[in-house]
Amino acid sequence: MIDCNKFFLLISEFIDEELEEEIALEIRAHIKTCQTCQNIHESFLHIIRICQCQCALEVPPTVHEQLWQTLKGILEQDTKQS
Amino acid sequence: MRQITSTSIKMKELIKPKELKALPLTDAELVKRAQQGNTSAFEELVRRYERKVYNLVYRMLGNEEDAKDALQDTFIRAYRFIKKFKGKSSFYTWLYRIATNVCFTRLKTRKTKEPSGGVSLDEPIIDESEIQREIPDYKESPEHLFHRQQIQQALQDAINELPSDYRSVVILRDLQGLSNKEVSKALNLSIAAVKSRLHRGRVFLRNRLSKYIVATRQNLHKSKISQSFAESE
Repeated sequence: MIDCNKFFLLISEFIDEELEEEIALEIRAHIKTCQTCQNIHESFLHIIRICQCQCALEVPPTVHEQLWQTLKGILEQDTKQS
Repeated sequence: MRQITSTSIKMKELIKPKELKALPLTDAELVKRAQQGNTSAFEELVRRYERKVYNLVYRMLGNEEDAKDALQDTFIRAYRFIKKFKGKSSFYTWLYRIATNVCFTRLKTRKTKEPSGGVSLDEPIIDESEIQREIPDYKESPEHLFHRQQIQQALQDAINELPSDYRSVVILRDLQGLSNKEVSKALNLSIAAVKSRLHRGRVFLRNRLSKYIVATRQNLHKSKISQSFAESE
């Protein structure tokens, strides 16, 4: 039987669809009747969405140039040695 | 930190090596070539994952300066150890493991340097809005854009406060989109440990960002109202 405490422990796995179907069904039934857990469920979904909606950062040009400058030096050195 | 003495690097030569231009090779094929000493193959792997690794290390470390050094360290280590890569996991999982280890080392060093846990007042403030991002969606309203930028900054601040064990899991899973299995391989953790840390990390973020969750709901509600208003007109 799923109560609020158990729901809170399992919420991440529930959202990630990693629970057995039987437990997932119990959770769904619990959410329908418990407003608090419904709110918690929504808030978790929001957090995950916020994370997923983060823009991927572009590598700043100076960072990109320095990376390649450094790597080029190392790769050239190794090529010469071999 | 590695300094550059000249910026006259011929980027185009590096970006489009003639021998790799014709057909796209898989990561596994590139790794094999790189292990045989083909530096162009390694360069291609760097090109493929430079941005992803930068995003990971930036999120882990929270500032551009550290992210820049971590990015370099990651690829230098990857190059030095590529012959030891046995292909038991995918190349990027292996690369992410190197990157997170580089970050953990930096975070530990930072902790010992900053016993108060705070940031020096002399340290320049890096405004996330200064960071170059993907081309913005110009259809987005200024109000919505402002709200989104606020949330992004708040999320990064919250991530910076996350204990590093949880941070790496949350970033790889929820921001980089890896599966639990991939995260477990990248961090050398059991799946159970990944799940547990992910849950705790999400709880932490939820507590830190609670006011934005409410604001987002209100914004969504507002936009739904204005959308239905526009549709009815």
